[in-house]
Amino acid sequence: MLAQMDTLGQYGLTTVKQYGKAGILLARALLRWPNLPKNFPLLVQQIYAEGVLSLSIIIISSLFIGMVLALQGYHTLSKFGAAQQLGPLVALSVTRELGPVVTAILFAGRAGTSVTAEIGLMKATEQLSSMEMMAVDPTQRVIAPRFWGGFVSLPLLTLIFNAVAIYGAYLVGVQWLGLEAGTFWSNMESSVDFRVDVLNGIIKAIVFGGVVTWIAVHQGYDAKPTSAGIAAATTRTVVHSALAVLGLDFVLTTMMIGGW
Amino acid sequence: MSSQRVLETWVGLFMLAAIAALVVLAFKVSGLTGFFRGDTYEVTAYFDNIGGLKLRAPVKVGGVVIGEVDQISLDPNTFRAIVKLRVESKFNDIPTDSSASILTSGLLGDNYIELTPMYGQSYLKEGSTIEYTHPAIILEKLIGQFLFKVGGTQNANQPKVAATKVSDH
Amino acid sequence: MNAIVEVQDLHFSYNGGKPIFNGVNLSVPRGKITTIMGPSGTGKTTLLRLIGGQAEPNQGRVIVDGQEVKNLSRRALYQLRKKMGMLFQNGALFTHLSVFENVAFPLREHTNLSEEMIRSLVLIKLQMVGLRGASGLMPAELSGGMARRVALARAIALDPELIMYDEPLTGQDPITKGVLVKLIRNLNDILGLTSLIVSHDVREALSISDYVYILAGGKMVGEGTPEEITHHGSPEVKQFIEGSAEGPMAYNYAARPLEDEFVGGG
Repeated sequence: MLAQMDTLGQYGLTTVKQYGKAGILLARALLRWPNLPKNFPLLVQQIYAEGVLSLSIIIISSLFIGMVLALQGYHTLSKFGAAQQLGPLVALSVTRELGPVVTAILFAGRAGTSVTAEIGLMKATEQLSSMEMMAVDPTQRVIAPRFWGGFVSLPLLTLIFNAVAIYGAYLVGVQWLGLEAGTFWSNMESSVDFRVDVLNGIIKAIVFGGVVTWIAVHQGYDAKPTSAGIAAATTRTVVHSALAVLGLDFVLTTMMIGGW
Repeated sequence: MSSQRVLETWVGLFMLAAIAALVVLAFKVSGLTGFFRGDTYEVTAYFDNIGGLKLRAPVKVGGVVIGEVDQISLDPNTFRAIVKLRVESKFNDIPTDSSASILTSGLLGDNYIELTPMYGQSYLKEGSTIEYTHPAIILEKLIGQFLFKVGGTQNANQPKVAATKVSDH
Repeated sequence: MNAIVEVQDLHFSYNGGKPIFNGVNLSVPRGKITTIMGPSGTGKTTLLRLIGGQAEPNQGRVIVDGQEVKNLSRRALYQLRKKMGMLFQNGALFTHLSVFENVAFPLREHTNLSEEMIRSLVLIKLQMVGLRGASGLMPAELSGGMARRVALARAIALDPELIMYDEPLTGQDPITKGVLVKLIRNLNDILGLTSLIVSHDVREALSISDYVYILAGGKMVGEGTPEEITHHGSPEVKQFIEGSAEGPMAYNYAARPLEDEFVGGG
């Protein structure tokens, strides 16, 4: 019994230490980021690597998600004779929840893991160490650009996700299932409020962007410098990101529904 | 560094796409019409019961949106609700004796304020008060009234039935 | 100050683990090549990290160019590091940059030189290590020896005063070893550098060193010029120089007596 307590205690302590290390890393990445003109190209590179290269998976996923939502929604709503509410159904689901959450999780899988692996490998092959010895701060040059790159990319990706998903729903609902285009869009317009729905979704995306990238960067930096270590770190990035996103989504939704 | 140029172009396109998406979401999806950050004037109305009226609920005349609810508070003396409405300045010819009612959008929708213009000569402006108001229709009270009426009819019928039965024997 | 690096009574262990250094003293004279040798795992790389300020001693002092490394602010430490070049064991080239960009990296970071100047300097350094023609390649396309030479070019890009080599010859074929060894000596003399080599390639290291330290068990077990070391009386030094498994330094990992393993427990 005591042995179990001991293990539990140790586990708790290591977790707290992990959070501490992650916090310090984040603080350093945020604070040691002056020097904007010189390091701006690095940021651009990272927005490209994390944002632009994630576009294909985001667009394809959102298209399918929009289409499926419309399909399922139509069949269920028709039973209540409420098929013209398909527009609002899709738009609200996407802008409030699916957009930010799914984009964040896909982003964690695609860009998060690549950031983790990159930083982990750079640490393992002593590239970060050699940078330090050349009097260049690896936090400024490697970690911070990747962090800000993700932070900026995720809201942008979410916006694109939302628009494409709704377009996908339009394709299925109007072009295929024959709903009236005018009703579709006008019902949507009257049910979706820009501030409450779209903007809150973007706020979620900004929060998720920070959290997911933070997790990715920290896992990479803290990974054990072996191939197994890096593999474990990338897995942890995806798992922790997914859990964090879902948990935060609940918290944020509660706050938003209560009117902040 | 031409590959840097290429990257920057792609990132620029990416951001443009996101902004375009935002614009579509704003105007096509949520019907944002550049609301009243411009010229508006504030009008106050007192209600006995505002029902489910929320902040930023629309204010309509003849079904057309002319403003929104800006503030809801309670008068500590009369215990009536004080509702401040913000109306777009271009609608500056609403008579001061118009009445304000709280209606429901559809059968189960949100509450909004409908102004019914009257025939007065002076018009609402900044700081005006609307004199005539109709409170919101509370569904439960309505149902209660209906049930009460129905119950009353049934009670009135019963003695006649009993009387008929007795006389048959 | 004739010594660019002074280590006094150094005690160090990682996170309270096994002590790596138990009272080590050494000094690295300017303009000369000093080699630190010893069995694997005695913390030779750790010593370089202590000198570079990537770790702090538990006890004792590490003084570089007259400044105690532990007490330096981050900015001062970075200033100090600009005067040092370090060659890591595996080169540690930036894999996403070409050879040219790798060598140009310190120049771009720490100087405001024009592109042409940077180009000239990079090509000069690459020429010194004999790899000017490889400037367009990516690190993944280089052999181990070539990668190390590029890393060397990068380490001397800012014309440092001190260069530290972490096992530069380990795992290289004889030709590369010979080339690297000559390169180290030439660079030292031509550029007026001080070189600190950590190695266990006895023959090659002794051939170019001006002074040698032998580290074992967390302590200095011998020091002197290559001449003195080869004829050193101490048994530890002898074992190391001759490369024999018998001697005071344990070769076998501590284990139960052989008989017990096979006969005893069964």
